[in-house]
Amino acid sequence: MTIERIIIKNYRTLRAVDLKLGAGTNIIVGNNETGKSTLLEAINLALKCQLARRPAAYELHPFLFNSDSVTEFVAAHRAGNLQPPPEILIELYFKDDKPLADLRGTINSEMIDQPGISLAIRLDENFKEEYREYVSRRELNSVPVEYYEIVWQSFAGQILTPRAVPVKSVLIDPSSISNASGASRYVMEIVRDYLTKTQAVDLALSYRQMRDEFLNDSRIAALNIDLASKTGVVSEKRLSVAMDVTSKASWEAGILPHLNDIPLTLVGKGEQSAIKIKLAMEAPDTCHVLLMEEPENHLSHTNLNRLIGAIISKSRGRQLIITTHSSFVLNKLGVENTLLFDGRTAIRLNDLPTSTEAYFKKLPGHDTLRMILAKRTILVEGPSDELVVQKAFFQTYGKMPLEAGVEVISVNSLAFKRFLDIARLLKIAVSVVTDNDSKTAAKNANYSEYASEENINICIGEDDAYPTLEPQLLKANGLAKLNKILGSAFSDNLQLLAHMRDNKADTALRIFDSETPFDIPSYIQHAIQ
Amino acid sequence: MTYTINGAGELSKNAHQRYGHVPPSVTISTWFSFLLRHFVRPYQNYLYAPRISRINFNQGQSAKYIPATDVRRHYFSQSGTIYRDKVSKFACEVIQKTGGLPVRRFEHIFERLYLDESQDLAGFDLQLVEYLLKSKTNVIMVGDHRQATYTTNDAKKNKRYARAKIVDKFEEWRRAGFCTIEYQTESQRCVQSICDFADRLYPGLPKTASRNNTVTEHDGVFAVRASDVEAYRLRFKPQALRYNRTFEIDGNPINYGNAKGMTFERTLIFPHGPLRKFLVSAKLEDAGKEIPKLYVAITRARQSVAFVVDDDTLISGIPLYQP
Repeated sequence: MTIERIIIKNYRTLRAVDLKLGAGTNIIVGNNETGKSTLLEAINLALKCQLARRPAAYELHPFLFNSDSVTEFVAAHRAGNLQPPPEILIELYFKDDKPLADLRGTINSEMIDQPGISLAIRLDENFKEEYREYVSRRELNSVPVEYYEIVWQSFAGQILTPRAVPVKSVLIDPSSISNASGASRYVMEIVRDYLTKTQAVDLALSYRQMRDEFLNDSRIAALNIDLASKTGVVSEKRLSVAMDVTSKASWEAGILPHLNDIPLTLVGKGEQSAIKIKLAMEAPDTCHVLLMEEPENHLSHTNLNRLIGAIISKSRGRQLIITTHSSFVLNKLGVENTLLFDGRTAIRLNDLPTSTEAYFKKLPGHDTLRMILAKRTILVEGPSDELVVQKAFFQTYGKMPLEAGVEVISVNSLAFKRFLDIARLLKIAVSVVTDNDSKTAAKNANYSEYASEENINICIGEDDAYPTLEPQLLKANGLAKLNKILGSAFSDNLQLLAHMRDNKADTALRIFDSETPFDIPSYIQHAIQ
Repeated sequence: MTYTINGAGELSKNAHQRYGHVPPSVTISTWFSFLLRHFVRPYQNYLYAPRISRINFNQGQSAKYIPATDVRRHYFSQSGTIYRDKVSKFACEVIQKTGGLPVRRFEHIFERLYLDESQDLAGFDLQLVEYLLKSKTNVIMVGDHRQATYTTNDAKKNKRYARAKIVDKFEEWRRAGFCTIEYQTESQRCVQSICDFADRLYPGLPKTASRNNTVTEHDGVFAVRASDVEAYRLRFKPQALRYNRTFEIDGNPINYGNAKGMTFERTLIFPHGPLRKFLVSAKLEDAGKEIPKLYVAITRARQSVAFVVDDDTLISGIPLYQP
């Protein structure tokens, strides 16, 4: 049971989303504020009709509505230009699957015959009168959610109840838990999902039994007798103490998970969130869709590696929708499963060569995500090249590349083509700065398959006589100027070159820090343009 | 699937008695909620966008003079509820407009459909059932045309197959190769003497054979004097049946028509005018026009049916209950 497509209208930052998902892993990446977390929240809302783990009807508030659409609605009204009130719509289109046949129909905004769920938050017909009153006042300033209703139905027009949704999901969002009680409630919920029915019943029963024993304890009995003697003092009625037996006081409230006998809420945050994720994934097969927010939070590199391993092995056969800011997570889970989300739709890395996919899985340390999210990227061969390119950029534009949204990423030159495979699919603007290593022709041939891509710019140092960065710098600036920049006094080119080669990093740093502008080798000039 | 809510309740009660639960693979539904859920709503937006929430249980023909092209007013009341007699028409219209999408959907969900009280189908229901018969789903319809007390709708369509004439339609389907027909003349419920008495209402049809061989202290058809009724009710605890609510009776009486599909151990029938006449004269022409309703009332009991009669009335052919 997988979600194939999501359409969202007016939900928080998501004004209009139309997104296609894959059956297995979906890694949602995107810049901050594009609404990645909101996207997961919206999917969860449509699957469970829950907000902040409570029935959505209790959690309706004006800020659920996209602020632009609210502003437009309010402005239009003030201008006397009448408009229907904003509505929220979330639609999940499922892959056609026998157990979902009952959800099938065309009651969706696309009028497609497919199984699915829609959740709409819209004006309740029963409040027409009150709404008329409300909008007749010109000073209206938001959406009157008091007059709104949630219509949760299948694409067959059937009003849904949580039990009627065969697609089960778990939302794992460790970052949203701010306090201890929230955390334990959250874990208890996951523990509850994990337990079988019999186990849950046993737990509830023994918890109730324990409460009864508490009452039968002779000391408590004595205490209650004593309290009873005070009748008439505090109240005309008899006062006594007992354990809370109302349905609200179920075991979830009184039981806390422990790790090595330490209450979970007192364990480190990283461990906590790892536990939550693993527990959720261990839950019996009832979960079809896993929604996971930034699993990298609070985790050390080693622990993250272990957690990702667990996620990969446990999510098989389920749909995983995960957001992340970590290249490591991305590379490990498979770059191909990346969905670059821009707040409206997402581009997917389809058809990435398998060898490239495998390469990043094996060497997950690469900064793939930096490139994916950047406006423009310059790939360089090492730290010296990085410093020189940064300086060249600053010298040309008066600001550092990062301030201009340009990432300069230093990678092993063997990885260039792997990065370019991604860039080609996502149409990301990338320049590659590389040495000719005295084999210009061979180098050119090596990159020929990318030459025709408009977004890819291969910049190889010219002239086989100047194989690497240092000779190229010398060629562009000459002995005197370089001596000045480097604070050296070499009498001939060969000596200077030998020094530069032996002190690559220092040379680059001096160029970077120097007050004197340097002449930028033309291939680097070409890359930063 | 059955027509009345009582009938659906009876089916679920049966399942509980037999298996302890309604098997999860079985869905019990009434005709109208079935139509709404599977044939009206899933593709209603081909015809009409606002969600159709409820049925307007109007009597007679709705919106007679509004053409079907005026969808809003032809099918729906002022408050947006769909007219009872137009539900299956709407469903058929959607099937036609979508090239049969609701039928495809239905086939995916249900392997087999049991349709109870099929003698009550009328108008566009028959059209819809024809679609179902042609679908991949196996359809088994059961019915008793002697119980054709009312029709699911009063639409003009298929009027000539109304009530007991429904068999003609079934025969047509059989000739067209859509179905086969089996006639059954057995009653699992009523003891033989009740069957025999009920058969008097349909002298032209085959006689019924009882499959209920249970013997109790009080089996068969009886007349009970009005003055003995209280004691009789105390002793046998029969379910009271009445013609309609103008007959004010203690306990929870059920109207003849509403009792369809229900089974009771014993019944006590409070006769209305025509039935009273018939009990006295034993002449069918005295029984009035609502023969099917009487037939339903008489055939609800497994063991005993008793008619309440005035103390001074002489009844021929039915034993008088002696306290």
